Amino acid sequence: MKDTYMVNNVEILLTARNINKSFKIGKNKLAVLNKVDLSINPGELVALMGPSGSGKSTLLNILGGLLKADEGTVEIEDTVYGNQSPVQLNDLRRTKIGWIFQNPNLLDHLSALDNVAFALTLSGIKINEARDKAKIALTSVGLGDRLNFYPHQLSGGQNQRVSIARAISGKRALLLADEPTGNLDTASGQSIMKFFQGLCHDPLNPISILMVTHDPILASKADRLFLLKEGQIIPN
Amino acid sequence: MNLSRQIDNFFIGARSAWLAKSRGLAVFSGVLLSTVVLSAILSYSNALGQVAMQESIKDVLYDALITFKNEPGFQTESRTNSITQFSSICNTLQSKPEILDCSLVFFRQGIYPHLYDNQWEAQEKGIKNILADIYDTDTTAPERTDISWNKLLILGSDAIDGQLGEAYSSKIVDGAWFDSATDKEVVLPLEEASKINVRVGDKVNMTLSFVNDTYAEGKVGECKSLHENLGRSFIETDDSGSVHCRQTTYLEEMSVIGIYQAADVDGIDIDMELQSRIIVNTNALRNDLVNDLMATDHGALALKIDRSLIPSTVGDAKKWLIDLEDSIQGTASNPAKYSNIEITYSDEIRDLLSGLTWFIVFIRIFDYVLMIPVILLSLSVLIYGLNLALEQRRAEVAIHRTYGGTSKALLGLILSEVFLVSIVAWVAGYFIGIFSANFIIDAVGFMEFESNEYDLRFGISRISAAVIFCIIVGLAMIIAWSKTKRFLSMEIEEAILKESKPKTNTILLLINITLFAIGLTALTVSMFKPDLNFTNGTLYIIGPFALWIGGSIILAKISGFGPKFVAVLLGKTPILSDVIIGIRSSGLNRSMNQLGLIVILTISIVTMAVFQGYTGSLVDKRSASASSGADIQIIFSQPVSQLSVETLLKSSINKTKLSETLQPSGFSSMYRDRFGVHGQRQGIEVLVLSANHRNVLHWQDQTVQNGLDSLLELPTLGFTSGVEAAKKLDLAARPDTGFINLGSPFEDFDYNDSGFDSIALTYPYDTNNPQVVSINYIGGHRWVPGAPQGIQADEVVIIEESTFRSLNNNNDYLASYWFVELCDENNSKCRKGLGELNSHLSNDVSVVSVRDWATQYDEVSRMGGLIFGTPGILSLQYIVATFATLASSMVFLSLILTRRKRELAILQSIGASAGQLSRLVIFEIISVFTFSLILGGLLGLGLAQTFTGLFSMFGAAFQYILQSQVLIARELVWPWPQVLLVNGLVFVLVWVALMATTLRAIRSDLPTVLKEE
Repeated sequence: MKDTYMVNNVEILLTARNINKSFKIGKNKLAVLNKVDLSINPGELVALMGPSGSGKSTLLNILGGLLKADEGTVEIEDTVYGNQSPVQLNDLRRTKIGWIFQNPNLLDHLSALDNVAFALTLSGIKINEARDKAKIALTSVGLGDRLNFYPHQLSGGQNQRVSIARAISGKRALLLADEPTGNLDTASGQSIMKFFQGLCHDPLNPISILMVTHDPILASKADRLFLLKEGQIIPN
Repeated sequence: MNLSRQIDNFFIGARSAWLAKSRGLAVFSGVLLSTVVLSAILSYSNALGQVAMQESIKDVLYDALITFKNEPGFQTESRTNSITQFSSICNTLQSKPEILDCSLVFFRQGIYPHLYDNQWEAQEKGIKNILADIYDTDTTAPERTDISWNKLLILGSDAIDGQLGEAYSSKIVDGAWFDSATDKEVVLPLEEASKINVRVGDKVNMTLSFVNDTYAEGKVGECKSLHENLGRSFIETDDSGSVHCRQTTYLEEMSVIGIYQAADVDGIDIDMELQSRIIVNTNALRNDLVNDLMATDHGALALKIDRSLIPSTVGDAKKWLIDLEDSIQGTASNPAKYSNIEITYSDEIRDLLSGLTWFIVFIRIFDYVLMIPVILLSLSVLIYGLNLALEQRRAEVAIHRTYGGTSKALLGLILSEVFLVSIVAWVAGYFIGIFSANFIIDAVGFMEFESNEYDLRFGISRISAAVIFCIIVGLAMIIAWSKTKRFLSMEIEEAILKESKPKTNTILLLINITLFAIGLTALTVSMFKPDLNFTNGTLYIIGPFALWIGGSIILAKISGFGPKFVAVLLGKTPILSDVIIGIRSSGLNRSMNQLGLIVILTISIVTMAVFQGYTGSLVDKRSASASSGADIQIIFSQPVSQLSVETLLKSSINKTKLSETLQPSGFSSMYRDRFGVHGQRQGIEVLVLSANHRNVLHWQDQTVQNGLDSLLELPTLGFTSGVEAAKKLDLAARPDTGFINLGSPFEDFDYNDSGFDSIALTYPYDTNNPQVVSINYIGGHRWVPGAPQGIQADEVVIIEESTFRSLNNNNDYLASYWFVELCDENNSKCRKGLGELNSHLSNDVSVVSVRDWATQYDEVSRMGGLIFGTPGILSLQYIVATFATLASSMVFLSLILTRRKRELAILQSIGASAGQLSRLVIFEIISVFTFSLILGGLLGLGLAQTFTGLFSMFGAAFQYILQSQVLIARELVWPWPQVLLVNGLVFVLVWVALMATTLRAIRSDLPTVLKEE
């Protein structure tokens, strides 16, 4: 395990406290998360593992502002949230947290370049500047020669790289990755993992990544591992 | 596929349809709309046929007459002279549910054995009618010098009340109808009462005469009275030389108890002779006289049928009437006998219905032709809705295939879902369609409804219902089948792709461009109104449809460029700069293009219906104006002065409840006489209009060939001429040119370049030393506003009072035809007041007839003006197209946004705000929608113009069939406020729907949507 980095005198990037979440299924209530506490340091690559149904994606969705928690708070930099609706947390996702899904979730009618640039224009960046930044981001993920390809013209791994480029292009401090290699072959998965390590350990501009995975080999390459079982984090 | 599998499929299909509501809704709304349209059209068309039937027979007083089968002297046992025995047939007949009333009446022209061969000829001439001469009680019959015979109807005592009596009593305008205690009383037609200046309550003497025998020429030298107590019997000889003995008798001190207004039966000749008769009943006659009438074959049994039992279609009605006739009369080989009496049953309705068959066929052809766009529109909504809904199943079908779903099972699953939704929608649509025909038939103008007085049965035949079912549900199933088959034939990977780029079908595109070009040519032709020929006529018929279909598809493609246009326009502004990359360019989204097409199809129909609907209403108003001539037209039995008219009008207005609304502001008279013309032996009919006719008469630009301004020349010795008069006077009249004048009498005028521009008019006509004045031809008139019956506008010339005075030594003159300006006809109070005033004026004995604008307008608009049933059709088009616009927009938006839910979720996951998402969706969809709305509106304007040609052709044909004297050309009016209101309303509603669906999409559960493949 690596030591934590000190960035802007902030040791901890994200802190989640006492997160509870349950779902109503018919008349029953299913508790998914039970008083979960966790923290992520800047520039840290953290893996989150657990059996199916243990609440990994739910936790990730709450941390990323896509789902409201029943109880508890999440704090990233100066923003505290937990029970706000996803619509209220657009700013958070635009500026602080980037998302990478198992399914790349690209817009089919836009090229790789525009998929990335669009995310930037939504942040108020001018279109030409956004396209320049998108080119840089796509080049950094190895797709500099595929800028004008549409999603259906790219492989699964390449599409996932586009979604990574989209996530990192906005200089967000934290990336949440929900089984990003789930749909990829081993080589592509490892390549993505290597890329993640590079992003986190970039001495100039380190990014933190919280990644849900079922693959212990990939998890072993993380700086830290959380194990989620029956709605609770088990200390590793 | 076994039954249990089939049942499973139905249950799964039902559940699937319920779960994917927006998808099911697309199929539902398409099937519903198509079914509503088709069943409403057929039901409406059926009801129109019934209206035409009921209108055609409404003035028939007796539905059937029963007379003896054999003439007097032949098989005498099959006849009777006994009134009691003959009348007893009524008792038998009235036991039949079809017969409402039956009674003995005397008016028939008898058949006599002495001249059997010529009987029909004599009957046609009407010489053997029962006649009456009426005079005052101070005069006795022998003193009469100017005998005026009028036809008489003698009612048996049973005919006074019941349905038969009601046929006349409902027409009483002054006094009362006979009652059971009636005695020595007479009811007169209004025209006759005015002519002899008799009022209700007056007593009169009458000479009654009837033919009691007929002989061949030279076979009888003298007629003898039947009895001593009867009057003289005299000889009448008709044109064929047959000799008739006419027996007279006298009825004294008869009380005039009622005056009735005879039905206005233009063009209907059947039963005409009973429409306007002096009526007495047998109580006023001595028994022996009644027996004499019976013995001389004047008696008949009049029947009233329960018309509510007559089937609603002409064919079925005729068959029903034939069956009824056979059941009463029997057949030639097996005649019915009523105590040995054999009868002939003469149906008075059937012949009218026979004449109606082609009229109804013509109405239906026109109705169906006019409804083609709306039928195609509803089927388009169905087809596009189904395509869109089924496209969403593509990936689902492919996924089912990956885990082993067989083609058969998947096909069954989707067909079950479509079938179930279609069945429910069809049943709902069928009943809504039938129900809505109820309202459409009440249309008296474009989107103006008033309850009607007809007894109508709404519905369609089982065969029609089955055909509609097969067309609509069959079409839905065929589309579902072919689409699913296509999905099943695709590679799984290809099928899973969310959206495929539509392929352009070049041949189809070329066909549509050709159609559009044909439509644009028809539009151009209809604007320039050239003479009608085969090419133009063909263009008028196919042009509107070519323009609509080709135009919609081509313009929809253009509307697809809406987002691009908006992107160029606003892309660099703060409104769109942050979402500009996300706005889709055209051609990528098939659903959006289909939405554009549906909007163009629907809005163009809405626009066309509004323009043509209001144009139709205007034509109806012009028709009413041409018919009444002014707010009110009064025809007096004798020429009267303006003072007399004012006095009568004032007292009549005071009797109405709306006397404050009815304020006479102008009087105009029309004087008619024969004038001499230099060089013309027979002279010419002249109408003299009083000086202020331009302020009172409802002149229209179309009335006069050279326009309204030319009338300013009338006071300076100018005149206008009808087409026949122009030919007769060899005037330099010119033919009408241009399509707008289709049906104008001047259209084919044989123009003579050397014709006269002025004529020398002389007056009085039949004197040796008349006054002469030269008058100048200022153009032809196509009709005369309010020309009373009997005046043929084609055959008269019109001059003004000043011209007449110069011929009449400046003497005052009196006129019989008067016109009054009273109020603004657009005001409902005015219309109501005019109708009321009409009935009060009609009651005056000096008045022969009254026509008011409001009543004329009601009649014209109820009948659809130029084209029967048009207001209802255009209103239906308008309602259906508006509904289709809204429903299809909602359904399409819902489907489009359902498909885009994932896209919106992705954008939210990368931080797009609700405002950004709304702007993205709204600008993209609204730009297509707005473009479509504008292009659809423009196409609608073109359609309205192009349809004018079709309407004019059908209108002229209807006028020809109905022998209308006044031919109003259809000049298109442009009711911009109404069109903008409708389009604005649609725009706002779609905007609201779009906002609602966008917000719903934005609020969907993001993690779930994002996990979807």
